[in-house]
Amino acid sequence: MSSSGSTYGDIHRYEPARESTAAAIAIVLLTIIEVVFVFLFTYGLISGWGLTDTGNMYLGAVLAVIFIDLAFILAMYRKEFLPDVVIVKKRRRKWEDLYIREEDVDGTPFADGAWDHVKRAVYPYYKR
Amino acid sequence: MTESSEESYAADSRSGSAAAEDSSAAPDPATEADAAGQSSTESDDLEALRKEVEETYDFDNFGPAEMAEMSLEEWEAAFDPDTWIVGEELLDRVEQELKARVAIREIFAIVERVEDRVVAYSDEGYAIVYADGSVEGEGTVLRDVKPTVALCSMEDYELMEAPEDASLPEPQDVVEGSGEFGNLMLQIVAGAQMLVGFGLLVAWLALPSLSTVVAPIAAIGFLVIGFFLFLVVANARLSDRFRTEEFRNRLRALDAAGDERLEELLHDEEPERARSTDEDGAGADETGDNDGEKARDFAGSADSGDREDGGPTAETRGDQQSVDAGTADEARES
Repeated sequence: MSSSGSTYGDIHRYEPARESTAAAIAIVLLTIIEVVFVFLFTYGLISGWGLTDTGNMYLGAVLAVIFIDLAFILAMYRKEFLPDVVIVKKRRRKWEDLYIREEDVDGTPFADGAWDHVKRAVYPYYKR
Repeated sequence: MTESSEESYAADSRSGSAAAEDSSAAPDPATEADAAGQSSTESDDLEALRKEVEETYDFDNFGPAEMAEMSLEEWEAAFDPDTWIVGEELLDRVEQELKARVAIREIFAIVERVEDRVVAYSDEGYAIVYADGSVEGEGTVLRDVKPTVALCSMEDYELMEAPEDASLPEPQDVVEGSGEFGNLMLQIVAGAQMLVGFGLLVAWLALPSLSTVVAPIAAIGFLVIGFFLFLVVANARLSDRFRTEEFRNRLRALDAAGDERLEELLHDEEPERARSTDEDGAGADETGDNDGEKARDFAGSADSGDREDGGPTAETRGDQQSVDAGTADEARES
């Protein structure tokens, strides 16, 4: 392919996270909401709010808020608080690669055995 | 577009003297005599030829096969070499663009201007850009540099502004990427979830009023979410440590290799290059490669392809196909 040799695990770009002020304020607010609603839900469950019709709906809504809020927290964390990294990985076989040449049907293995594959997937610098 | 129409055209333009334009022996003297005879009506001919080419070929649907069908004269008539930026200006543009791209970390390489070429290299590959727009090299650097050269040779492409210090960071300047603030927030959320999960479990065991299955399910849900969030934070910290170290190592390796590698690259290229320019067209081994490249580039993007392989290349690069180089020079002389 375009790159030759073993470049698996090479880091192409490593930029620190932005951590903008707006994002920081947003994630703090979201965290506070999350904690409050988690405790509210638990309190409501224990004190039996769910036994009435409206109370049940109310508990359900609180639970929904918890999950949606959690989703936003994770999105924010991933976008603003994790570094921007481009790393060379093994290109997996795609459908369009199949049967280019008969002997290439299985591709080139970069590890021997299933366990080795797992190790390399978890830690790309294992035995370069 | 068919074989016969092209044949008939070829017969017209050369007054029936040249038989087959691709056979290497025949056309050279024939075209020369031909061109000398018709020099007065040259510009009219060129116009007519251009028109004819435009009618014959469908340039909206133009691939390597059609390109192979064209004769050199048709090619020269249809594609104006002045359309593309080449030479010193191209190198300046490529250098600036590459530096800008390195600065925004799109390309991992050291970019240097050496005499009449721009060299970009990293520990895993290299690319050398020549004044005529040809690129050679290997690895990811070559893959990243090629489109840059194509873009820079287009007049209407606006270059990116390269900052003052447009280079890769120093190894010791690389800081661990994820700040602790985001991790702290995530840990607070995870902690709350875990606490509530345990609380619900205990309450379910202790309070007789919570007899349904809802409480333990919710408890397990909260515990799982909390555990997952802690795992996310742990993974971020751990992989950060490894990745910064790895990135620093790569930068160090590049620094250490630096000048030696540049020397090595330039000296490797020197003799090959000289040989191929000396023997005009006799570099048979490179010819095949170059043709393949030509076809592929063209299929990929007409813009980048024909600049690299159009008019100006024939005289500056010796490794064009022998017939093409010969006839192109003569056409220009006449």
